[in-house]
Amino acid sequence: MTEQEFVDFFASVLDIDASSIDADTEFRYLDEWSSLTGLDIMMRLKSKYGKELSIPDFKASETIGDVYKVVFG
Amino acid sequence: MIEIKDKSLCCGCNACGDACPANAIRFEADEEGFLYPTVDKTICSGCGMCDKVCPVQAVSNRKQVDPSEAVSCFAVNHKNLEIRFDSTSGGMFSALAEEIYRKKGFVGGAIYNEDFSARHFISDEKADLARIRSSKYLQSDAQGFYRKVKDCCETGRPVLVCGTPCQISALKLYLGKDYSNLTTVDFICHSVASPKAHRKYFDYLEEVFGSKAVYFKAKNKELGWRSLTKKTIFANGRSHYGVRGKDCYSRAYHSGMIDRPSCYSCKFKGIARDSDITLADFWGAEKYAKELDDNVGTSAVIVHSEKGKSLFLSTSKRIIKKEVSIADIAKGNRPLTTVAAMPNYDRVQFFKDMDALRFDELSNKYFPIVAPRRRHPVLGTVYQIVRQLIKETSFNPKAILQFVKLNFLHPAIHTDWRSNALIYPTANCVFDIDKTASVIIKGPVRFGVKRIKGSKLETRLLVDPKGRLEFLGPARFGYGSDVEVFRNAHLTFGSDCGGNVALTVICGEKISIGSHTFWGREVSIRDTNGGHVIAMQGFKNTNPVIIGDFVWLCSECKIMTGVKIGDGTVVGSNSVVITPLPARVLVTGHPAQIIGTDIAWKH
Repeated sequence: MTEQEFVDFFASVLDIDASSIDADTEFRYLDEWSSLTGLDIMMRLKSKYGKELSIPDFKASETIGDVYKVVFG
Repeated sequence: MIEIKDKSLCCGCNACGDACPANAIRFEADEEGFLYPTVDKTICSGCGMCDKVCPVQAVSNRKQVDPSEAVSCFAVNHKNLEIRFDSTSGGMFSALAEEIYRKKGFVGGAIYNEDFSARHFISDEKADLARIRSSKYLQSDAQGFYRKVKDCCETGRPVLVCGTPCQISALKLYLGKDYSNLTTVDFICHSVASPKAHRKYFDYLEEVFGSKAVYFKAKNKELGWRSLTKKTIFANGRSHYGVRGKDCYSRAYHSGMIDRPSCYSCKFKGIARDSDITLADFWGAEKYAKELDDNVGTSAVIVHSEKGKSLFLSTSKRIIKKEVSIADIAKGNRPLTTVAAMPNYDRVQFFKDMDALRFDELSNKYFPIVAPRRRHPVLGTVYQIVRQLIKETSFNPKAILQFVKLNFLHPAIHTDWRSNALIYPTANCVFDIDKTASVIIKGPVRFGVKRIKGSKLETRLLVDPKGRLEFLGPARFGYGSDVEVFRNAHLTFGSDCGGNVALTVICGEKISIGSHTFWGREVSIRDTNGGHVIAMQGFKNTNPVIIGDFVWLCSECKIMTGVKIGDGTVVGSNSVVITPLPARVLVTGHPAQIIGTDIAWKH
C-alpha cells in the first residue's frame, strides 16, 4: 500500500474528501475525528490488511504519515 | 552591587546571579526556604550589572499603557482532551509550545525536580512539554536559566519562555534587547510559595503513605477542575487526592502564610505586562464562555503584543477559542491586579513551627479546616431535610410515609438525621428489609431518582434476614433500580457513588463498590449464580465482587461473579467483565478486553 492509498483509506474511514487531507495532516485535530474512530482504524487494518497497530504506537503517531510508517514502513 | 537589606525588595528571580560577569553572586535559602543573593566582595568588580537586571529596582521604568485598549482576551480549550486533563487550566500553554517545537524552537518554563522542588528549564525536545506544562505552586530556582535563554535566542530559532511576571521582567532586563524570535508568557500569579513548605508537605505525605512520592499534579482534573485536587502517586502504587479546603498544601497556599515576603508588595500586578501573553485559569468561564466550560479546565488568555498575537493565532487548529473582555477575566481572577494580603500572624514563629511540626500538625495549628457554622444547627438541619424530602418525594404521601418508617421506625435501619444520613425514597419505591437485617446509612441515600417526573417505573430494595447493607456516604440510585441482598450477604456502597436508570445488584455473599464510582443505564453487578450449578471443577455459586474507587461502569455492562476492578477503571458499554481488571484501564467487549491503559477520566 502506498502512502497516498493509506491517506485515501483514512479518508474513507472518516467519511471525508481525501483531497482535504494528506500525510502531514494531524488527524486528531480533524473535526470528524473521535477516539472511537481510532479503534475503527485499528480493527479495519487488522481485518482488511492483516496489520497489527499497537495502542502505544498509535498514540505516539501524530500525522497520518506517522501511522503509515508504523504499519507499513 | 546587590545587597538585600529588606527582603520585601527581592522577588527571588535569580537574574542578578546570571548577570554577574565575575560569577560573584551566590544564592542561599533563608530559614523560610527562599533564595536570596549574596555577593562575594573579594571577586566583585563593582560593575553594577546585578542592579541593572533587578526587576524590582527597575519597576519605575516599566512601560505604562492604557491597559483596556492594549489587550485582546480569549477563553481557550485545547482540542486534545488528554492535554487538557494534564494541564492545570485549559491547555493553552501546550498549544503555544507545540507550535514552537514544530518550528524546531526552544520552550522554557518551570519543572519539578525529583524532590518536587521546582527549577526553570529550557529545551527543544517536545517530550519535555509534559514536565513544563502545568502551574507549580512554589517558587522555582531560575539560576542559570537567563543565560540559557540568551544562548537559545542567539540561535535565531523560535523561543518560548514562561515564568512569573517578575521573572519575565527580569528576563527582559537581562537580555537587554528585544529578540524578535522570543515570545514570553507569564500568568496571573497569586504569589510564589516557600519551597520549604512545599517540601514539608511531601515529607508529611510520604510518612503517612510510607512511600516516596513519584508523581504530583497540583491540579488534577479527575474530580473536576474546580475541585483544585492535588494528586500524588507514591512508589508503592497508592495515591492521594487532596481536595480544596481540605488538603494541607491547598490550605497553606490559600492562607497566604507561605508567600515570599516580596509578594505582599508585588510590583508586577496589573493588566499591562512585560510579557507577550498572560495565561490563567478562566474562573468565571461558566458565565462568560459557557460553551467551553465542562469543568475540565479552560484557559484565560490575555494577548499583549503583536508577537503574542501571531503566535496565538498560529495555534488556531489546536484550540477552541472565544473572544471575551478583560473585565470577564478580571472578575474571577482578583490576583490580576490585587496584591496578596499578608495575614495577621507571627511569621517567625510560624516558620519555626514548620521545622518542628509535621505539616498536617502545622496546618491544623495555623489554618484549620473550618466547618460552616449555622445559626440554628438543629433547625437548619431539619429545614434542609424537609426541603430535600419535598424535592425527592414530590409530596407523594406513600413516599413520605416510607421515609418516616424507614428512617425512624425500622429496627434494622441505622440512620443519623443530624448528619442527613437518611434514605430518601421517591414515589414507586418498594422496600422489603427484614427486621434481622442490618442497614447502615452514613449519608443521604436517594433512592429511585427520576428524570421523568411522572414515571411509575418501580425501584426495589430487598435485604433478606441477616443481610447487611452499608452506605458509607451519599449515594444516588436511578429509578428502575433493583438492589437485592440475600441472607447473610454483605453489600457496601462507598461514598459519593451513584448512577442512572435500572441498576441491578444481586448480592449473595459480598459485593463492595468504591467511592466516587458511577454507573450508566441498566448496569448489572452480581456475585452469585443463584444456586444453579454447572458440573465443572472449580464452579462456585458465589464469589465476591470488589469494585474500586472512581470506576465508571458504562450502560448495560455486566460485572460477573468473582470480578475485582482496580481504581479509576472504565468499563465500556455492553461489556461483560468476567476476569479481574487492573487500575486505570479502559475495557470493552465480551469478554471485556483492555483497549487503553493508564487512562484518566472525569465525571
